[in-house]
Amino acid sequence: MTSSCAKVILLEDPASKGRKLEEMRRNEDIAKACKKVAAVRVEVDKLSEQVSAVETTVSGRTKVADQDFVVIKEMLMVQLLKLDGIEAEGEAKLKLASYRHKMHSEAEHVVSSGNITMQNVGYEHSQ
Amino acid sequence: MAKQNKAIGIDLGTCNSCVAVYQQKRVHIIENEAGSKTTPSMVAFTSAERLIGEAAKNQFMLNPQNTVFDIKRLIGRRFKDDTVQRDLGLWPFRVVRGKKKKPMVEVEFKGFTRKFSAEEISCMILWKLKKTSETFLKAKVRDAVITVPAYFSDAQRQATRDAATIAGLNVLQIMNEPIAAAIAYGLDNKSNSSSQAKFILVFDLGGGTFDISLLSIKKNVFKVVATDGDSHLGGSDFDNNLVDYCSQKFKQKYNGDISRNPRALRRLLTACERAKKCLSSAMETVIELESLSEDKDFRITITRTQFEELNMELFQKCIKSVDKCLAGAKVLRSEVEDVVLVGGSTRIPKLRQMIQRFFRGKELCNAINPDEAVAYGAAVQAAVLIGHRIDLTVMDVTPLSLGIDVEGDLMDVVVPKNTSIPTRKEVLYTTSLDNQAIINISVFQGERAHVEDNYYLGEFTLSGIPAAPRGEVSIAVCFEIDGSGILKVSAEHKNTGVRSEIVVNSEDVGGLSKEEMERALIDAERFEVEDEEIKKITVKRLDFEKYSYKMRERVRQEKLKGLMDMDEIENIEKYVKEAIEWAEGHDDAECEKLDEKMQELKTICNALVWTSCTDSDDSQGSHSDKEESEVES
Repeated sequence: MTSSCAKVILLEDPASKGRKLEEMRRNEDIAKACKKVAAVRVEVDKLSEQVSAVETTVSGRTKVADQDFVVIKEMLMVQLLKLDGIEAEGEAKLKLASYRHKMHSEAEHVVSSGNITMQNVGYEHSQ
Repeated sequence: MAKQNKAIGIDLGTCNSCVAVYQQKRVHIIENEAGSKTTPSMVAFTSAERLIGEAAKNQFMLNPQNTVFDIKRLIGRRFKDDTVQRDLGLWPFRVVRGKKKKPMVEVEFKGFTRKFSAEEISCMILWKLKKTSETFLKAKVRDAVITVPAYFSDAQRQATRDAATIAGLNVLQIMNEPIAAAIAYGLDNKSNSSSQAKFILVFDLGGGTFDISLLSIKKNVFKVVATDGDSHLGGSDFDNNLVDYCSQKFKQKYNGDISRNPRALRRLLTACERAKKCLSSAMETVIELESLSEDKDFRITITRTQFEELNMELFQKCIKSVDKCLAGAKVLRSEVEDVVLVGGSTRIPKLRQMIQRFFRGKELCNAINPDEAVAYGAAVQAAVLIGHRIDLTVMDVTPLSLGIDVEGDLMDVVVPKNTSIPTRKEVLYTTSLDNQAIINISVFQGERAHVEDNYYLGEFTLSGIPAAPRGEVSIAVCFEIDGSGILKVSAEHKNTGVRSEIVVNSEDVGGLSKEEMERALIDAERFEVEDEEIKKITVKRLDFEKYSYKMRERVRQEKLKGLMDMDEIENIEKYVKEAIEWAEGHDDAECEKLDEKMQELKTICNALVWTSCTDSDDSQGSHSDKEESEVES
């Protein structure tokens, strides 16, 4: 490279770009995981409310609510599968694990306390 | 808008379908509205609407009786056919006998019970794919090539053609799937000159079906010589084996049964599918399911070797089918010119290795995404049929990122790695000094931030830039890689048109050995001391595991042969079994401990190795060396 030839320069600020990239990516990953967890949390809360709503309205007359309950259960399941699929590294991983444990046992509780005799029509056909 | 004449290629699959189009000298796989390159071959009927593809799949659990899939297993068949009768029990939707002995699916749609023929359902899927293509091309689409399995009868082909016609498509050709895959790899042109027939084997292991086809090609004309396979073997079988293994382990650990817990099973299945995919690139993966059943957390490490062991029977079945197919056609494996891999499950490294070994180390055709290869070939054929001249020689990707150096000796990537070639990328740069007249551009290849850590490809200068304050000049730097991997980098001053360029040898860009070496170096540098240690242990542990599984296999063989003393064999068997159990229970064993155990096991198995290594292709010593280098690369 001859001395008279100056280097090309990027329109953006290249120096900071290289150095910060690594750290940014790490922070981004954690933030992304948190965001995903929060999204699942919101949905699960909504569904839990619906379960208790169904519970109070039926109060004994279970037949009416069967289909509703299947739908809610399935939607809950979809959310929990999403939760299983979230990945994290290091510190965030531990937090995520304990959080998952809590949410899954909560969901289990919600479903069983639904106390509606149900036939799990859909679940037998999982691929 | 200019009048467009585009023809699409459709891979109408049993589980998933894929559509592609040839334009701008490239094949584009068209993404559906969900951003996915394949669309589930599913149609669902609800009280309010009809859903096709992703939407149908998403609501499957809620409405299994009215969600139709696997329609390819019904099309063009009679209700009384054995295959239809056998499959009936597997589907949650109802299939009844219709007019002319045709099978019809019966569903609840908008409050009425309705019957649909297989053609009608297929038509809906094809219509959806047509719509997807029209959205992508922003034009009407009529002409299409549709693929079917090589073993499809005339009735099945005609029914598929009818379905397409109802969907508003003009069917240019009903094409055999394996031939489409072969065309995708340009194998039709490859043997152009020779008048001798050449054989190509297409190995297609998809989501639910397994097809082997032996093709012959002579003067550009393909012929299907023989087919074999299994109509019910696919990716989900591997998942299920893993699920069974995990639920066993769960039982051992907590004495709890999850086979009656549908929620837990579904979580496990989803996790196992993810683990399987992960093991195609990683050597081991962890399945972690918190509160899986009765508040108990489940955690298990699955190594690639374990996964392979679990599915070895299925893999062997696949290889046997290949053997059977060749034997039936009286073709020797050495006569097979090319082996083409199709279907997502052909990503499994062990399977690839076994196929390669079967064909005595032949390079396999696997550069094209195996989920898309058939649609890819169909798109090429469609373009040929409407009169395009096709010049597709190489379908490849850039193995490393390509870029130039910018201020601070930093690498600025212009073409990211894994970009499919041919490609063309342009980026604008400017000067770093006032009145700078000359710019020196150095081209590098690699993933590191600093150019000195990357691989230098060449440099050139652009001179004659008119005087201007720094940052006011705009220089367009353009990277062009053609079909044969030749890289041309050019720089142009936008206002004056001053230009300069450099051509980099194809060996440096598309070639493998140099880059692979470079990449291994780069990766090695990146690992810190700690990572190094972990890697060493992992390699040791995997070696230990591999060795013990291998010995187990040897013991089994030896038992069958009956040449050795039974007591001795049983003694060795016991040790091997203990070793396997020890390895499973000690993910965190230290280096020394592993060495010790390995030594112990080797001493015990020595008797076995000496008597049986004569009939094997690789002796033990070279075996373990080879495995080690495989892990590191």
